[in-house]
Amino acid sequence: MATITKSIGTTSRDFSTITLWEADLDDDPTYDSGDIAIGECYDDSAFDESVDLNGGQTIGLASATLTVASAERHDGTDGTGARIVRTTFSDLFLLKISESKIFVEWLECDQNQETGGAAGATCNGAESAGQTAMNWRHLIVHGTRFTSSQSIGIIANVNDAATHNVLNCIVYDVDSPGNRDALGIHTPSNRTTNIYNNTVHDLHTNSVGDPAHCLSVIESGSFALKNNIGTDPVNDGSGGAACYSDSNYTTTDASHNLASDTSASGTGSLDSKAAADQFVSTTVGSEDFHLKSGADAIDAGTDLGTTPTGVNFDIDNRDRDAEGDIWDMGADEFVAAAAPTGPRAGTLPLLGVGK
Amino acid sequence: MAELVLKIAAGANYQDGDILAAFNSRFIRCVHAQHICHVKNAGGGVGVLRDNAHVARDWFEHTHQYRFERVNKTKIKRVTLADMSEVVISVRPKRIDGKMQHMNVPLYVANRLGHAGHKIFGSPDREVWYGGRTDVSNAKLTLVWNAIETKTEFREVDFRRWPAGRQDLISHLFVTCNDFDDIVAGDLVSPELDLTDPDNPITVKKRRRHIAWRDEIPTREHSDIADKIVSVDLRETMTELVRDDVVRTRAFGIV
Repeated sequence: MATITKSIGTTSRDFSTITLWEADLDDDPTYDSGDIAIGECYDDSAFDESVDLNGGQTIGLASATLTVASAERHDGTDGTGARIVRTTFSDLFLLKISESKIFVEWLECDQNQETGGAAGATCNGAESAGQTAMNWRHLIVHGTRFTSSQSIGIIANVNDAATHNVLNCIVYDVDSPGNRDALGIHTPSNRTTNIYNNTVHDLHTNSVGDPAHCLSVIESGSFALKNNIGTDPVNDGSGGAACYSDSNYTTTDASHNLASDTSASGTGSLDSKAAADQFVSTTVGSEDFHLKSGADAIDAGTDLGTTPTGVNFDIDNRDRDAEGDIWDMGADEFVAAAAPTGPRAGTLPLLGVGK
Repeated sequence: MAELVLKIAAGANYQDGDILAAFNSRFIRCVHAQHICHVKNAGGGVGVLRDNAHVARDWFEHTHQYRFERVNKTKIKRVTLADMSEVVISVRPKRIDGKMQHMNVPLYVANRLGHAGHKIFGSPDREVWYGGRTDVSNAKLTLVWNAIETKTEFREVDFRRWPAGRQDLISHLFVTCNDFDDIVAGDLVSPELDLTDPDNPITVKKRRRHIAWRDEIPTREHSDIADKIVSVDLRETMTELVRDDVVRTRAFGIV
């Protein structure tokens, strides 16, 4: 069993798009059964594509992970690392996982407010028979707009016995121009799904019959909903809006969640907490969902240890468990910073560019 | 001037000749402009602002929705570049366009400057950055390329080809064809979807469109193309394909 890493980007990499890497998972003679395939994205330019991740099953890969090279990852805000930015109308998701053992992490997925038709979710974890272990981790998802269906940031819509995870993701700016549901993270499945340490902000719809929910769980399976932040869902129609789809889950293991309204449920949850009191910035176009000093979410989470894999790493890749942190709610683990010394103007000469 | 990337040999999810990617002229000029205008070419770095004179700033100025300007220690001004309207934002939340918005300005700037990929221009305590929706239409890209050709030695005419990866040229086949717009580009790589339930679209087939490349590429090239350890790049030597003549559609539901 080998780990095969391929680089993805537009400056002298192995593959120039995610699609071209994914299309090769079953055919590259370098892969053998049992191998682990890693596609490592680089911030050479924005990717602009819709990718259905389901390769590697024929050859029998142990897993396939779409990730970002460590030096090319975002800093928890948009435009700062490897990213997919949709620049044209499309009916499609940006990323879809529709097969077993495929993991997606560290990418920014910006639908750029390009109004899509169907598809429903910017990041779509779709139902597939025999699918096992789907994971979305450390993503920034925003600009979601779908007109012919629900408008969803991340959906975990699985139908198999394995456990599926949405961990340490930031989702914001989800709008439903078709006046349907506007959902940040949504799991309608009837299987086991963990939704841990995510931050969801700013949902909007104008629906009469459907709601805006930051975190949406359809209680027909086994779910855990812990350490999440949900703020500012808005419905200008009469379909309702709430940070959490149910303020009194009966079968969902919900605790230590924060809401800007009164819908946060479970032990240790916090209600009626303003987004402005939690985050560095809610300015549209310059959002920063890191926690600021004094935020209610600080030290208000529950310690989840290291299971599932990756849960302990926050949106900045800080290991809460190794650092001995008292867990915060949301994707960011607050760290008190040293007093800023202020920026310096650039003094470095330009090399190779300029007249 | 456009390129299509074809699947070679059938696999579990694709068939031989499926169009995997469609790069029209806009895609190609956009990717090269991003390379030239990348902030990492614009001087600065962790704790150091980017060079305001670099074309990186032109990229943002022409393609982004907002420009943010720090006006003092605790306030910024957000300028909507389409109409130059302005709003002032501070740590005190206020309702703008129906949304409560605020910013802890010194903390925001410090957070960004701590990252090697930051996009902060301006001067100390008068920082400038950009955000919001991105517009990389041909009209905007023309403005960017005008700036590039004014400020640098780069010329758009020298950047006609998609920057294929080394494994791209081994695993797949790049062909050239007449140009097409973004709607056609999306159609060329579209899947076949079952939309019986629009809330749960099911992919029947990952690609509807394909090219019988063996009919279009000289026989002498076929062996190397099919060989998964040989790199093949025919874009400079092949006769440009007429897209409407060669692109075919697979019958619905037939895998």
